[in-house]
Amino acid sequence: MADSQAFEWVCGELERSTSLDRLQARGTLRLALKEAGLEARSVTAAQIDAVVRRVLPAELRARGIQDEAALCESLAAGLVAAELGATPSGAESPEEVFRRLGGS
Amino acid sequence: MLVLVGLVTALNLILSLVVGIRLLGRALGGGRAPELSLAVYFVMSAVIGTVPQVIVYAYFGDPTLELPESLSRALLAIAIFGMAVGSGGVYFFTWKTFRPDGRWSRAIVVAGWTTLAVGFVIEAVREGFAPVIFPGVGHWIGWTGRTLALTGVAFESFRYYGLQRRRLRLGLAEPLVANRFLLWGIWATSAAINFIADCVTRAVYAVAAGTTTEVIPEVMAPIANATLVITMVLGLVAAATLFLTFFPTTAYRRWIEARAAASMG
Repeated sequence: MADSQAFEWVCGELERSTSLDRLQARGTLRLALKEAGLEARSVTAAQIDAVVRRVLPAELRARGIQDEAALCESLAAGLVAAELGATPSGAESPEEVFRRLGGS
Repeated sequence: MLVLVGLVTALNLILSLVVGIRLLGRALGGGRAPELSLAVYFVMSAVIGTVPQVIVYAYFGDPTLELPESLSRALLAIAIFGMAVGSGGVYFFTWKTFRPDGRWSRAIVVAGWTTLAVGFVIEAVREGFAPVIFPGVGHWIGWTGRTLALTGVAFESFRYYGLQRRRLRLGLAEPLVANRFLLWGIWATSAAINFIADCVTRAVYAVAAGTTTEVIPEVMAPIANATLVITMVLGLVAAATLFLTFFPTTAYRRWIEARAAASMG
């Protein structure tokens, strides 16, 4: 199954901006997403923004990436500029369905 | 005991009917697949699948309530058809809600529907929906399809609740919606255990009594009483979680939100 646009975009930027290769960049971001309870196939730009700001810095630091805070700030700013889509398929999320079930 | 079980069963029936009608109204108004599939479950399985069985199997408790066999068979056919269609709705709900893009999740839906249909056809052709204590293979094929439908949605709900708890720490989830996944998982688990308890009860009776067709009251009574306690507890859990999923009270909302705020410091 395809990963989301937001995931692919951040992986590409990580690979370009750090010494991490493609597999390492994707693996690092997947670990950060797992820590945040998110999945690469469905993560949205808004969700990955929170991960980039609050979870990814520690993951990058653990892999010896220098100046990780500035890098993550730059990634977050880039995410806004990139104007990525909501979800890969446009399908509604389980949260949306369950929010409706309770009438909220 | 029987009165309490009757009350819990009636509570679940009324709640299922109200939820089913509410979901059906929303689905017809907005054309949304998850609501429609759950409406099908609550109307067809929880209501139409249950009422005829209560009528047919009432003689387990009171032999004077035994119906003519032809009527029992007709009622059981309606019940099993309702449960099969309703469980099909649960497979569809799980697919559309949790894994709408997955190829294998679509395969699970097809496999689930096939199991339910094959079980129904075999039970119709070979067993004729006979009101026996331990039915034949067709019944158990359908039972497997029904139990796995609920097990699947319980698994996905608990898995998603785990994800939601992590998201809550980052402010990426709503406490009440996150809690709803837990409630739904508990509800589905209760319903699945009820199916399993039914199977175990029938098997224990068949072994203890040495018959699958006749009711021997002195053998049936202790087994039925134990099952009634389990069924009643599970029924209460199901009713409470179903109610809070669809009709969260203001106090419950406040409690969940306060707990989430406290856990985030």
